[in-house]
Amino acid sequence: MTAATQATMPASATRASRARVDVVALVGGISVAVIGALLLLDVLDALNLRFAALAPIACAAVGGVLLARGLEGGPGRTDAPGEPE
Amino acid sequence: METPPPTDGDQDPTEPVAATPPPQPPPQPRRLTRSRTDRILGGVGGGLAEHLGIDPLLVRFGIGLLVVLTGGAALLLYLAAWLLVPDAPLLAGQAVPPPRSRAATIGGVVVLIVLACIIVPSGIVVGWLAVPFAVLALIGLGVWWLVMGIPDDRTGRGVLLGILLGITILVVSGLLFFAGAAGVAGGGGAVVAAVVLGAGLALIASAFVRPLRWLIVPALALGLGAGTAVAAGVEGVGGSTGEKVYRPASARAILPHYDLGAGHLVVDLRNADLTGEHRVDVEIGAGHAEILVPEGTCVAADLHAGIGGFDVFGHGSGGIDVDRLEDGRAPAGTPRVVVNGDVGLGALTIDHQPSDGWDDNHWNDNHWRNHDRSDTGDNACIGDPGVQG
Repeated sequence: MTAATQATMPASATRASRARVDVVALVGGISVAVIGALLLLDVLDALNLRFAALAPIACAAVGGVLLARGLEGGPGRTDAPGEPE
Repeated sequence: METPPPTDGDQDPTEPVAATPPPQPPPQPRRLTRSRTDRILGGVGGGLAEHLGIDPLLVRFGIGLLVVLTGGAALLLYLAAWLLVPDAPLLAGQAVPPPRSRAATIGGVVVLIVLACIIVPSGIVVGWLAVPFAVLALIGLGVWWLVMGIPDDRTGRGVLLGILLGITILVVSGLLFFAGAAGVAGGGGAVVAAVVLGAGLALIASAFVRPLRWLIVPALALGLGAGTAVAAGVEGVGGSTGEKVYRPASARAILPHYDLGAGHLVVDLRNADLTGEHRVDVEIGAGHAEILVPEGTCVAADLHAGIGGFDVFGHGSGGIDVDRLEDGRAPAGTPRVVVNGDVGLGALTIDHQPSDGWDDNHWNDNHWRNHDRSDTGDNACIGDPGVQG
């Protein structure tokens, strides 16, 4: 892409090209999906979910979301895609 | 280019000495003063806010919270600060505020002292009520930070709104937690699991388009509530709650399986005229299951508790994911009862006498401490019972 075409690109396209993955939502989604999948496997009798397994998984899920939130780049920064900067 | 100032060693005595600025006095430490311009009672809150550089509304909210939490004792601290902390110095051109009349000052102090005397005796009660709310407010702040981030508006109004929003999210999440557990207990585990999995996939997809961060906390709450119920083993125990008492009058009347969703389950076999071996399965989602056997009975047990414990003839054990196996043999002519027990959240006891821990359906914490074993006998099995767990 030349500089001339980049200069004539609409602002929304430029913003979209710079869009990033929202790490907090991604980590939260993976955590929730893992818990949901484990629940489903338990319901289907594919595994027997007990506290010994659930407790560390729950801690890892909550801790992962908090970690992603904390590493996001400082207080108040929400560079989420789709949000105005 | 500036020339460096001559030092004492190479100074030319013939040149005029440049006028040096007068020595600056050492910087004074910032003193806490009572504000003259932002004053409601004594200006303590306003002065503290100026000293810390934060919104006075936050300081006043904190003082109010402290007064409530300490049952009014903080009013005495406020009085002490009012008396000991000096007024802020007048700035140049600042008009001297009209002096508060001595009578008004004395009246204010008296009112505060009276209030403190009234509130302090009930401080413990107030504290018991207020501390959970304070903890809730802190958790609400944490949830708010997690969901919304730290906004630019950090004024008192913004923080209070954030706390309220955080608490709202927390309450909704708490309801979802119990809804997830209830869904699993009611046999809808597959639906709850599918909803949680769907929410997780939606969150993952949203991360690339438009993040739905608000969904994280409620989805986690729903999933963890359902997971707790699943791990506790209360899947499909149904909605039966309350107190259920079974007293089979003969060995034939003994059911192979007894269950209860939540509450107090009593299986009283003392009048069942036991002979030989009998198997009893007991399953309770949450609460207390009690199995009573006649004296001189050998009891073998295979027990599991998600969260809770067991008391078998006075020998207690408990914790998370507890298993206990007692596999004693019965002497000749001694009846043997084999108990297969599963407790999701709560306790299971096997004894000869009913527990005194349940009094009008209210659990008595002193039960475990005061339980007297001297008059209830023991397990009639022979050999090492082989307690595990």
